[in-house]
Amino acid sequence: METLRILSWVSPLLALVLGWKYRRFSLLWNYCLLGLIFDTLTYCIRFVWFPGEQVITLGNLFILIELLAFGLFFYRYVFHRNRLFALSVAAVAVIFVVHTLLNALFKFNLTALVVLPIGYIGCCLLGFNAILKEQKIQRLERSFTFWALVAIFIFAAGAFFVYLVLSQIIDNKAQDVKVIWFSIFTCINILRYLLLGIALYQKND
Amino acid sequence: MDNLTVVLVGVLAMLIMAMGIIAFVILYKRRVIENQLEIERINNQVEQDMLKATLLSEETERKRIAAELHDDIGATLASVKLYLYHIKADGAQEERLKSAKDLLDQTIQNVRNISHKLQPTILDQLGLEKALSSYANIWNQSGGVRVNYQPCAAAVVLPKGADLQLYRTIQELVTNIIRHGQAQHIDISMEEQTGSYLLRMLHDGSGMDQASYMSNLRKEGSTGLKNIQNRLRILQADIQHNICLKDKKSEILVKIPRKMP
Repeated sequence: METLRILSWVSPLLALVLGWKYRRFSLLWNYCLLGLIFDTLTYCIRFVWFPGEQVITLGNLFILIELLAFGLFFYRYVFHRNRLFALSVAAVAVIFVVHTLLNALFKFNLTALVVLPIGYIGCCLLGFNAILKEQKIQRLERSFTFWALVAIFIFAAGAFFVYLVLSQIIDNKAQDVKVIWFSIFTCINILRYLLLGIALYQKND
Repeated sequence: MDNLTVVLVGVLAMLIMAMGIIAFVILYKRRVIENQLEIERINNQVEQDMLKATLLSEETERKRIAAELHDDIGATLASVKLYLYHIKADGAQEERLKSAKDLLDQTIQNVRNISHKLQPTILDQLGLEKALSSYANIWNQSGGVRVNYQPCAAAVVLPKGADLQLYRTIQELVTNIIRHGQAQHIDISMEEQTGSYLLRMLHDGSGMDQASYMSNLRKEGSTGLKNIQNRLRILQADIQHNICLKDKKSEILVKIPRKMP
């Protein structure tokens, strides 16, 4: 369990190293860096500085950063700087902040956790559709956009169900259920950063 | 079903669905790319065929003009020469007759040379190397420019029609070197390489590097260079222009594959 936790914690490193090596400090590289910082902070707060305490507010902050990072990625690579999309992302971010402040300041914003992956899945499907419509002759395995979309799509698709039952898992007293839930989430998390690493290995489209 | 089963089944279902969509995108895009490449290949083929047809019709026309020059004008001039040699003149007339005979000989030779350049019959009869030697001789006889051809150690064997394209390319290159580069000395050589032949042309005129060649090629006009490029495309050959700063000589390298698809 501890090994899986550490693996999940250091999983953004591969993407960061690849981005560093090929000088591709893109938006997703910064997202990976923030992921690593947040995981490190969470680990330090929960296990070193304040053992046993929950760090839910930090989690909510990362959800907001993730929304902005993915939103900006879709804005640039899928919607080709469409203003309406940018406004939609900004509106969703504002709604998320207000909702969190009003309802879920000291607990996970479960509504956002479930709703946002659906949005990411939708945007990824639109991105795949755009790739299929593209007339450019380009091998997909060498496309940054494609791998980034795959990373977000797989993460969103996997995390959607994980988050859907999160409230019940939190209330569940059985420890083994929590362990398996955490293991599944960790695997999806590692997979996300590995795929983002592959994306950062490719040249920017 | 308990929570755990729901999570496991749900996550698995979502991941399988995601993988399915990604696999579909990859396979579909691969198919689209294959189709696009096929279309591109067909377009290239059509373009190549059109180019060949254009050059073929040009060759046919050259042949016709060469035949007219050789068989009609050449024959007429030969008859005129025969008549002139039967005229007996004395005194001042004799000197004029001699000049007329010399001029006629020169004209007959010029007509022959033009005819030969237009339709190198020697190419069909004796092959590329002999034709190139003969071509070099024509320039050497004209005086002024020295063209030296160094044949390949092994016999040059090119596909049918390719030898004529190469011959025409060399003709055009030599003409360009003399006309635009003001060269006085040109060395042409052929050497055999693995799977290809390397044609090397070294001259003392003002040459150009590859970047200038590409830039001139893009300019409006420059028909000669475009013809060279078209012929090289048919031959699937590569051309490289170099300027040797050391001995102030320029070099043109043409790499011709032995087999063409």
